[in-house]
Amino acid sequence: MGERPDPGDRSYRRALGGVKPGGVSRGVARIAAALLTLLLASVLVFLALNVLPGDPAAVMLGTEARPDTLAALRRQMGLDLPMPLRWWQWLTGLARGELGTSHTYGVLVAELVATRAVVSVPLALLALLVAIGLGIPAGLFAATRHRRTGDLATMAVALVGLSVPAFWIGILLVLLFAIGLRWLPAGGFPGWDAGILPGIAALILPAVALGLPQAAVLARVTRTAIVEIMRLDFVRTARSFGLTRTQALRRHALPNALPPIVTVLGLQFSFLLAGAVIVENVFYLPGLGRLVVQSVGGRDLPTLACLVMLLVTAVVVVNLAVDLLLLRLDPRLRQRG
Amino acid sequence: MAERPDRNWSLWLGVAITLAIVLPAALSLVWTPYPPAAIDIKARLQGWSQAHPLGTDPFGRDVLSLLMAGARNSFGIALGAVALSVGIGVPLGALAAARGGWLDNLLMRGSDLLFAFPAVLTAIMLAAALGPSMGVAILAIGLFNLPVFARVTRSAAVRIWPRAFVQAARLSGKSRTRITLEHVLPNILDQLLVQVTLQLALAILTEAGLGYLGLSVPPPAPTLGRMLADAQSFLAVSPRLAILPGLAIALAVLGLNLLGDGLRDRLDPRLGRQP
Amino acid sequence: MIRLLEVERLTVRRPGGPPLVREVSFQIARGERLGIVGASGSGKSLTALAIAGLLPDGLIAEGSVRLDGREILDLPEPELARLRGRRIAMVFQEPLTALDPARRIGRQVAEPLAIHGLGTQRERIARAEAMLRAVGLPPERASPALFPHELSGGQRQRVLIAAALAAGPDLLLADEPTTALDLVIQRQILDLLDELVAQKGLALLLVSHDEGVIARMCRQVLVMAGGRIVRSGPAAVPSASGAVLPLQPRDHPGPPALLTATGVSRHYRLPGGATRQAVDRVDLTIAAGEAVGLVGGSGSGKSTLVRLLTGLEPPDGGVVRLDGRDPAEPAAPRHPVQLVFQDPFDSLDPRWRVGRILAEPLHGLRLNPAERHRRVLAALAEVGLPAEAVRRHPHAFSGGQRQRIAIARALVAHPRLVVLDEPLSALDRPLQEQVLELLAALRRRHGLAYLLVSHDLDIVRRLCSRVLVMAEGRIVEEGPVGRVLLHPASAAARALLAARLGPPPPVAPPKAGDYEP
Repeated sequence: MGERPDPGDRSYRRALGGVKPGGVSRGVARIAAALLTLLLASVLVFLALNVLPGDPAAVMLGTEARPDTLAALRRQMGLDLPMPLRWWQWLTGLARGELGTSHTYGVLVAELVATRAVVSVPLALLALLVAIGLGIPAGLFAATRHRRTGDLATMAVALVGLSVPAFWIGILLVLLFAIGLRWLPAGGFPGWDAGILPGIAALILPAVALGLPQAAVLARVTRTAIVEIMRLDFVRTARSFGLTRTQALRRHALPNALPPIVTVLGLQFSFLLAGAVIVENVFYLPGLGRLVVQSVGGRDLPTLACLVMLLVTAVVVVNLAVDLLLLRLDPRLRQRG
Repeated sequence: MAERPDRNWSLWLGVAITLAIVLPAALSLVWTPYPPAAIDIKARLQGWSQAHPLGTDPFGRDVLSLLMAGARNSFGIALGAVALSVGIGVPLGALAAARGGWLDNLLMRGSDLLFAFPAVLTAIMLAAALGPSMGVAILAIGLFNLPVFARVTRSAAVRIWPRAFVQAARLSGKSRTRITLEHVLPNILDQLLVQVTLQLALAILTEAGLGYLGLSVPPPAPTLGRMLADAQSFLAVSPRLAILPGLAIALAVLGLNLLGDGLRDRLDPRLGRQP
Repeated sequence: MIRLLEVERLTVRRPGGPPLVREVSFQIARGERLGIVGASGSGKSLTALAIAGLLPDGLIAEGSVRLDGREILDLPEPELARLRGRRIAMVFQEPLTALDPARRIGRQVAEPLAIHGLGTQRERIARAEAMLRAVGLPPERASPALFPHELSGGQRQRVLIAAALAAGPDLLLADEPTTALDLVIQRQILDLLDELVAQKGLALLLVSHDEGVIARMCRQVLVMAGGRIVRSGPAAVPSASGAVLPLQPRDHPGPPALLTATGVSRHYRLPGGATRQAVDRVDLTIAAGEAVGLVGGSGSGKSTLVRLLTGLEPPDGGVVRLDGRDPAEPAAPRHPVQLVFQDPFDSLDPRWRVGRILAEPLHGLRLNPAERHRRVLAALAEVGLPAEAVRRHPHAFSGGQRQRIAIARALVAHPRLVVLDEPLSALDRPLQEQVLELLAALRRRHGLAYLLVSHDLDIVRRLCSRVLVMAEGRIVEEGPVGRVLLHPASAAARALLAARLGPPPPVAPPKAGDYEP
């Protein structure tokens, strides 16, 4: 009884001829909802960073500034326009890629973002790799050893793993690997020009710190999802057709466990992002997270506004992608509301 | 399904660990071995000693006192944030489940919106605009976790409404509000309690991160997160300073998570309709 | 002679625990049909599961199970798996959850063939389609490309049967294969099984709590209780019981109408965009003190109609009047009509004490606490429960007792009409008798009007004088219960009658005092 892939499904799908209409309209609805969310988010960000602090011009020049200097600056910054218009201009500018100029650094924010992103994005991807590479297999292992020692031990470790702050793990890792063993750098980033390997070496510890708590969450979710499904009738049906328990797990449980796992991955993304902001500061990595914190310190509100919108967009896009993926994975979602 | 005795220890272990952190934190409201802000340069960076059981920090402050007061602040912020989330989220969720229709959709959109702003980002925005403070931290964490309570309440309540005993209550002429208060909420209280514990754990974790970035209570009030940030510069000299606050955070969060898990497993066989 | 299946002293237990199946022994020859009947907890399902090697986690089986002389009980999992689907097939109780939601049904029917490596890809697809046709699901009705959630419960059970039989097993184990289905569908599935088993010469082990189902399918039956076989012999049809019924009600001037519904309709919008007419222009009248039955298959609209009549939902069209008022109006008095629900485990708030539950219908009536308490105690007494029950929670009571509490709750507000929505279907047969007697007695004592909703015609004939038959949202037949049961005019009524597995009810000319106003 080999594990041959069964092309049977494709022949039936061919007979049907394509995607069912229900799926497409659901997808469109989700995209529209995501856009709406982004719009509303931009309003919130704008309000928080352009209205709350009071007059941005006064913030920049300080309380000692002369009134006419203030007025001139206001006009230059376009602050004398009505609020909704300012918001609209800002938003459309963002959409066009005009992110403004940073007050602290004096360069285009777009450039800043580009240079920092080459650090943050690989970091996030590495962390995801750690999370998925450790978490899902661990969860699978625990599910197969359900209620036995292997299960309990793995889940105990996972619980500890997700209770620990990522940045503390980072500090501990630095303590062990950088200061203690001197295997890896304690912080900083040499730049990709110095080579791929030194670059990755600098990202290993941060990626592990970031990824471990996520791995723990994934392990728990995977285990629960699979155990729940194993309990369900259709796995018993599969066994009654002639599959052993392990085979039934692989062929029936895993595909049906994907939806909750993918869902959690999506939800965890915002935690990953938040963790990245902090971890980059622990390791002095010149990434987007560090930029965000520096902008706060320097009261560089325009830059901050763009960055926050950028990160919020990332969260919304990832959640949208997860939603659309779920529509594909779970046939039941295609028709019901 | 038979009783799972292996789960009860999770509950009690969780209680024990949580209390181990909560009690000293609460104690700090009335007493600490030394005033947390008491600087004593002569005694800086000491290790364990009789005078200072956990040592001193770079300014000579007693680490034990700092931990107690820091934990108190962390718990205080976490409690405040969860209170905010529950106070707004639960009624919203209950309302959405009772009314349905456009209110339900509004709730979903609203929670999508809030979900898009990780607490750190919100805290950063608010702190940039208003300056860091306890209020900013509570608001940031509370707002981000609000949708969780709204959603959990809504989905739990939505499962209670079609049940026959609710229909019976409707037949007796009671208003939806009354039914929500008398029938729906009591029957989802268990699940809400589990969420409260788990969200408290999450709130403490988040507050630690905010403290590290300097976005929580400003100095001189101690926070566990900022202690870690300060300790980083002295990592080679005094690793103890980096380990202890993190340990305190980890234990508090672990204890609450164990508690929440234990509660959830206790409820599991009884979440169905029969004992 | 070696039989196909020999079970000898089969015992199932939790390690270190008491046996749940005790030393069960029986044999089944090729082509023979054996039924196992018993109440829940008697160990009948575990027996079947043990034979297939599909016991739930934590249970072990001891003894001997031999297939064609070969011991299979202690086989390692891979060996056992090779037998399942190929030699031994199983059909389970819950068709709604027994199919993989992520796979198309054609593929699932072909799965046993793929697992055992039978035939080429093309042959398997062809055989799957042939099996689907054989179970009454030709491609026009249900394409093999459909997903399980697109099929009804009855259709899913057919798919499961098709899959179970696809690889040509010798022995079919069926564990309550029709219990979760509507009465009319039950009958169809049983007929299908009957036909297929005969056609393919399968041996059948049928497990059920329903003697009628067993009698329909098997010649021999084993009765199990407490894990043991307590009786074995030929299967017998259960006898009917209860009062004889008159062909026609007595002729006397009708009492005043209590509840009227005129042209009542309700539709629902489905997620696809279509609308479903749940109730379609229904007219009905219930006179004070009258007992009326409402029967129909599932999906006929009975439950929706009940909600409209009691005021839980307003109709889209038409008018409902109870004592002259619209029950859906917020200000209308609630107490004249009360509802007894189907599921005694669901109709009482698990967090409330019984006393508080019973007092709830009195909300809206201006009564002082003493009077409320008095009524609660009186209602408890009427249903035969002790007064101290008021302090306890529902979970302290059995199913039958909980249903009595539900009935007491219906009495507390001194209603004039009690709507009973499948009040007995969740109870075991002996309990059904008791509750039925109670309901009849209460009606006589208080002159209540009943609207009894049920799919079970036997219960309706025991309590009601008049019956309405509902199908697809319309009332398709109406008349005295004797006439409708003996000479049904509508297809729906005929189907319901045919689905019954007992003998037809006895009929006699009306006697004085049979039905009081």
